[in-house]
Amino acid sequence: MSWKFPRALAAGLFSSLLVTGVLAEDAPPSINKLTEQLASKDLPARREAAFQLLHLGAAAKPALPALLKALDDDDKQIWSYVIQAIAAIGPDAQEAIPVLIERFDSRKGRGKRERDLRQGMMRTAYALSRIGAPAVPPLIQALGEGDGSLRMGATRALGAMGPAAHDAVPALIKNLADNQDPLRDESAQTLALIGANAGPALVTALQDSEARRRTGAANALALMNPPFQAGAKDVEQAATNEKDPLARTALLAALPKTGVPPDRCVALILPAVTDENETLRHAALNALLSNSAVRQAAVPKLAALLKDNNPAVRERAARALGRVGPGAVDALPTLLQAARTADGAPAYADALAQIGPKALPALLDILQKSKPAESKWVLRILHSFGPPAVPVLAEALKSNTPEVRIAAANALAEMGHEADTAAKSLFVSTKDSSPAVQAAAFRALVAVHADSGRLKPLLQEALTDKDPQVRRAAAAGMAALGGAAALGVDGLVDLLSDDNPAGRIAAVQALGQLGDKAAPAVNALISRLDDPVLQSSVVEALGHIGPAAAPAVPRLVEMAKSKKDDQRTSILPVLTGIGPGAKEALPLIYEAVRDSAPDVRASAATALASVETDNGKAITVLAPLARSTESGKVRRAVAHALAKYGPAASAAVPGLITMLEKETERGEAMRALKAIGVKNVPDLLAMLSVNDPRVKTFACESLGSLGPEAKDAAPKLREVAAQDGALRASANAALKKIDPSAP
Amino acid sequence: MNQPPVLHRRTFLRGLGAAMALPMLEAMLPARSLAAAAGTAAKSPTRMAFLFVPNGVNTTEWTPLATGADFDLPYILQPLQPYKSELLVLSGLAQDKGRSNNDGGGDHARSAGSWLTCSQPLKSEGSQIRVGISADQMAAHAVGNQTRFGSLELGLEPGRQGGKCDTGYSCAYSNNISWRNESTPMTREINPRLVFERLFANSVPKEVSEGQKRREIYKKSILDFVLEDAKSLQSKVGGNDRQKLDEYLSAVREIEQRVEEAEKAVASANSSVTNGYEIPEGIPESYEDHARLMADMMVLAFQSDTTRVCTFMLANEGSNRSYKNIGVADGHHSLSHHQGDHAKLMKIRDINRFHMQQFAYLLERLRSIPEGDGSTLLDHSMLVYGGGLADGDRHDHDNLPLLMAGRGGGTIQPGRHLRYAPETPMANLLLAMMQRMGSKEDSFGDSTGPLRGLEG
Repeated sequence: MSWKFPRALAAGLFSSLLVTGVLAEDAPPSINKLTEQLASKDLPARREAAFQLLHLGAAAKPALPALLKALDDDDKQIWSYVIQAIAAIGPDAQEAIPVLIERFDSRKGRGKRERDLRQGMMRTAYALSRIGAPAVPPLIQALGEGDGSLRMGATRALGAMGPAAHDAVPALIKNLADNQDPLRDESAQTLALIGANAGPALVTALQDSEARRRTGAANALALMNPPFQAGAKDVEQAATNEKDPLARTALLAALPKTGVPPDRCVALILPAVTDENETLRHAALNALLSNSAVRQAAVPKLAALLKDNNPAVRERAARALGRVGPGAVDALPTLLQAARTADGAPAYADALAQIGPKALPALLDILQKSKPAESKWVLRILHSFGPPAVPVLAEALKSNTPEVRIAAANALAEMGHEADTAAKSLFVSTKDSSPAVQAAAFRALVAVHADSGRLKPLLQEALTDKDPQVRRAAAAGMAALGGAAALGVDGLVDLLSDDNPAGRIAAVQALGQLGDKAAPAVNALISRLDDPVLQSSVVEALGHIGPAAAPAVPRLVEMAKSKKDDQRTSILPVLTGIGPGAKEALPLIYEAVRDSAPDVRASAATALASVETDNGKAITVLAPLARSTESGKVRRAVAHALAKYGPAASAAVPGLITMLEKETERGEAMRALKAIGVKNVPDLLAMLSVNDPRVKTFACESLGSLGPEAKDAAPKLREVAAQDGALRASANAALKKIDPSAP
Repeated sequence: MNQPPVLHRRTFLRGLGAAMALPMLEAMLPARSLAAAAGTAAKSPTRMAFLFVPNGVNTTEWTPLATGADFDLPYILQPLQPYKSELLVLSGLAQDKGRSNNDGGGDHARSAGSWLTCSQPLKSEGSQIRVGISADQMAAHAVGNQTRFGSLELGLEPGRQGGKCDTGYSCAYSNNISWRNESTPMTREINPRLVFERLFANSVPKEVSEGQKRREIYKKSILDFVLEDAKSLQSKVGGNDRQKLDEYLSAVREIEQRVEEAEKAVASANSSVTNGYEIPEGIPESYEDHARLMADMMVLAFQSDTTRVCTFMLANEGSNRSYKNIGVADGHHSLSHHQGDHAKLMKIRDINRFHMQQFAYLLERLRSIPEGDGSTLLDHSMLVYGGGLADGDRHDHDNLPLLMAGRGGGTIQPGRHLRYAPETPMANLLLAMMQRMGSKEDSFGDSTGPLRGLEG
């Protein structure tokens, strides 16, 4: 196998060389120069050299000694490029073999983090595989060494060579019984990659006295591609006789992969598919599914098991048929019968859904012909089909039985947006003879996001329907579509009692959207705080209502004591919205300012500024937080809160100035500093050092406004004026104000 | 002996400024191949697509517990239930070149920049952009000369190509996944009209411009301009082909109408600012409509063999758009720094699932299109869906969320969850795909050999 520099990359390389400046004008990079550069003390230069050498492919051979040295570079980009570069040199890099093999040895550890060690091993193994045949003998020797990592790396390198590593088969088979799980697995994979040459030895190993070796041999045979068909009889015999659970599991996987006839595979695998042991069942099912002929041969046998006396066996057979998927369509009649008997239990629903659209006509037929009570399991199953069942459910909207039509509309509603293609049929159902169907259709149309331009007029009309359930469904729809104004607060409060949770949530959200106009609904909302479905929506709505939500404070304080972070972070903004009317919550807020969760502290800082009427007290708590807290989110919230106090919050200035260093906090800090004002010359000089023209401009202007008091800042201002053209005018203006007599 | 086909595969319907490629028709197959069609699926080319999602995922709701063919789809992947047998869940792959590797912050930019290049992005805000050619472009080099376009690059979110987006990295890294060469991204197109015109315009700019004007003035469809050719073709082909042609032209018209609707809707909207960014003209206001429209055009491009290679960014890396349509008002990137907060993780899960629904839509479309040999377009495709970060809070570059759908022309056995050894390079997956596309390369990026196990 020869490695070539990717042709498409070659086109881009020259231009990139120019861009990176490695080239001396138009000349290609000399190997000598790159070799020299690889030992440079300058990190970017070393990186660039490693990168360019990698892209030279086999032509980088003269640099091999330098590359081997650079394997010990501390910079990961460099050693990673270097290993790739050695791989790209390929067979000409023979002298790298001992150095590379030694790098697998954990006894000569280089203290890298786990993932980098893995990366190093994987890439080193690959490089050795590119060097090829000369690396095989020393790698075989390494397979017998005492260090596990060395054995592992060698195994992987041999695996990457594939059939060329066939001399390693005996040593690898020996390692199939190693104490380390990963090495056993890697050895099996490598033997599989070696392929047919490893087959006879693996078949022999199936009879080994050590169960681990038998397991590994079976695993290797299962992984081999193309399969080792000459071993079919031995594998079948071993699977029949094996007693060790792990070896048996591995043999099940090997059966279909070694050419054992499908009916024999099924006979040996099927008992394990319905076994009590879940791990064995899983392995058996994977074995059954790994070969299409075996899969198909299993279908009638699995269908027969659907009639077993043991319900657990029936469910496991159904599950297996589901896993076969569309190919199990021949088992459909038996499966439907079993599903009916089991009242559509999840195992059957799942199986039918996985068989796919071919099961849908039969389900629709049952739906149309069955009694209402019996149709429920079919609808449950259809729901688990997802979008492919939408046309069937839309068809079910035409059923003669109102209960089926309602259930179909509800099932479509539950699918939500995924059922939007049923909108046309649902619009028809809004004129159904049954009010209950009409109501269900309206709710479904909202849930599937039907065209609101068409839906809204129908809902408006239905608001005055003679049937209360139609009116309620229409109100829920109007609320959900932003038509709360048409219902008014009273209408929405009425909707809070809707039987359907979606209607209640829509009402709460619509009240929230009305803002302070929803004040008359506050008590009704408070009474819904105990409804777990509504609680979070009610809290959010109270926040939008603002000061008028004050009666909710005692209940909110009680809820916040639950200590759940997400509840407190949602309640504190409500208290912020209520403002001074939430003073009863102040102990809670002060406590929350010291909370361990940054989200809670940030929300509490905002709430404190809004609720506390004693400004001095609030500033005393908030000002130190701008500097002391480790969370940027909290610092930003504190800065935002402090801005409202203006000059009274001057104690926070030093903390706010430290925030200017971070780009993500600078905006909020500047807003606060502008509101508070900065009068201290050293503080303003510190601001002149922040690399942001907005901050510097503010500092210049503030120094200027101090006049002669700021004379100590004059040298720095002169420096700014000289160095920064954009700030020159601001700095000179400040200097003029500090010393009007200056030239 | 094979009879020559009635039609050449590269037959176009032509009109003023228009050149419409066609789906595979029976008349394009040699007579003998047609007779043996049921047994041979080899005539159709293999297509390759990459769909990118940003900001990592809720990993516990993404990864199936069991491996092999006996596994259940977790919550985020459940929209793919109907396509489970067409799906490989690939766990354990890593993108080492997305890591800092002593370059400091900027994981978002690196994760996108390295996703398909498997190369370490050079930390730079502009003048020295360098990463590597991407796998889709390698494939385009291999097969692009057989199609009208080498590749198609789609996106849904506007984004700068210059300036700084993430801790010292140029926006070019965050906003592109396809790279023509080491320093030049293939910028993705987000405007459906421009994609539509690109797919169906001929190569004479003056004619294209004239055709567009006439369509606009006279409210005509692009189909009106190719009508004559279409009628002539209908008379030459058999019943099956006529039906297939009708369906194809209807699909083109339906997409054209959706493009027109999007243009009208945005033009008449009072505000084009939604979900945290301004919607440019011609872009559907609904994210979902936009995603599906672009997906449909990808399908048309594959169906008509206009291109065999496509990349599709469902959002830019680091995107902070919100998803109010599914009840998530917070910005996606802000949420991704969840610090273990359950509520935030649930919202991330919902966003991940919503994106997955768009992927499911694409799979359904691909599966619904026959390829003339008893197989479907999905059978002849390899689609990789995922991103360059696992957990968005920890900025993990290993155990990446990756799915593969399709059968790669019979070279892939889907319907399984494969768990690879930790740190297995994602480049190995891309190399395996490139080789299936016909590339002769045996190494790519930081690969250590083609990924094994895809074939079963």
